[in-house]
Amino acid sequence: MDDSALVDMFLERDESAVAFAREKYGARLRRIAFNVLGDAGAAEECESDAYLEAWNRIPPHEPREYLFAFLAKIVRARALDRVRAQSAKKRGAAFTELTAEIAAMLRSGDDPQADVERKELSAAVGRFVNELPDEKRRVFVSRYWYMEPISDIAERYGMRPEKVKSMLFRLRAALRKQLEREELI
Amino acid sequence: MNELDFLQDINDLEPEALNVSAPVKVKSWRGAKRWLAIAAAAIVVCGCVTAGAVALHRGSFGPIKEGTHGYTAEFELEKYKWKEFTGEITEAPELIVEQYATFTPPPIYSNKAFLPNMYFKDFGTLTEAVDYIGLDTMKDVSLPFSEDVTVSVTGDKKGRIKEIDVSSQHYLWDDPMRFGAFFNVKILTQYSSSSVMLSGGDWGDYDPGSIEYKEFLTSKGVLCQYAEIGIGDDSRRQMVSGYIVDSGILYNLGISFDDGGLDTALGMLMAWAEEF
Repeated sequence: MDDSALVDMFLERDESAVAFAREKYGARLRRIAFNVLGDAGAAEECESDAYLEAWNRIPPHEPREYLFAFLAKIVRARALDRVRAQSAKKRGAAFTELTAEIAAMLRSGDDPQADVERKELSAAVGRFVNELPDEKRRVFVSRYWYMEPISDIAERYGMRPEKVKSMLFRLRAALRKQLEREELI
Repeated sequence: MNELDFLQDINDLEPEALNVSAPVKVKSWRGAKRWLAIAAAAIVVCGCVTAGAVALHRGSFGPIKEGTHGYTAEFELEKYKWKEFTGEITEAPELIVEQYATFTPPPIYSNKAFLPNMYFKDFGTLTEAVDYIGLDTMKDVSLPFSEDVTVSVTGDKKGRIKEIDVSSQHYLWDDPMRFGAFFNVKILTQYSSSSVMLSGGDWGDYDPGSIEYKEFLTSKGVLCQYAEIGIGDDSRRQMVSGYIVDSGILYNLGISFDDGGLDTALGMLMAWAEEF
């Protein structure tokens, strides 16, 4: 079933839309949540939350051309909400490693302008990603949006893990430079 | 701002960027119960055999570098002459040349190559993938799952095929041990730059002392070298990754599992090795 027909089912309030969406995208959505939480049960709960939220958001949204991205954004946000509620010690090793990469790139400390800057930062990161060459963009998004392990990214793109690490290191440095230039960090 | 703020703030990337980078489809692990039973038997068959005297096809294992994660496994492989590949893969040189000439980024979830030097083909079973490659010495070993195998072919602008990979990845989330299996075959050709194949993995924030390199012989005398990996104290996740070189082709089966699944995973690895 194509995504447009699936969205039609959501719009018609046909409950089997959830079953079809689960069959088509469930495994990928669970994987996104699992990458964050490291727990299969919690990942399944995030996946179910995503269908419920999609049910409530379609309409007014009609993500015919980007249903997977629509669901993935929801499941990722719910997983991050959960991990935020956990103490740092309870976070999985893989996720801790990933956040350490980001922490090293960002400056710490509270900033009274933080809320305004965070919106600007989000837009700046979006611009940075969109301007990257295809391969780098895929690797960056795989790591920092889908939060996939480096070994999986390497296997998927036919690279050695060291190459992926080195590419990510350079990308973080470039992003930091851009964010500094725009005085966002 | 902290790292979690950052991860949440970048949630609104363009759908196109997300679609083209989406994780590959995760497959269910069919036939797993049968393999769990076979695994228990395999420990009895070859679990007590050691491989100290065998030197054939021995690879070397070791950490990547101090301060980094994971390990390397290095193997000397055969560089097969291209004329030895007789399956439909003989289409590969033409396909790669055409990809270089016409390459554009693929549509969402396309099976087309995302780089012009590679293409992928999906098959329902390993048998179909082996037929596609058509190399006499390649083994059609049984896997602890029964379908969804991907062949990736890498070449250069002139259509010279350098490497062929066969892979499959499956999870068994509904088992208490949450087994995952990662299967990979690597075949080099006369156009590969080196006959040494480096493999290995990056398992995140692990204790370097928690990786052990071991080996065993099957009942037919096939050497299987493997790494036992603890993937960090918090995650309780572990992995065994076994390597067999047969006729100069590298076969790798990695099995990940939760704390307590080591014996079963080793049994699966041994049962798989007995297929050679």
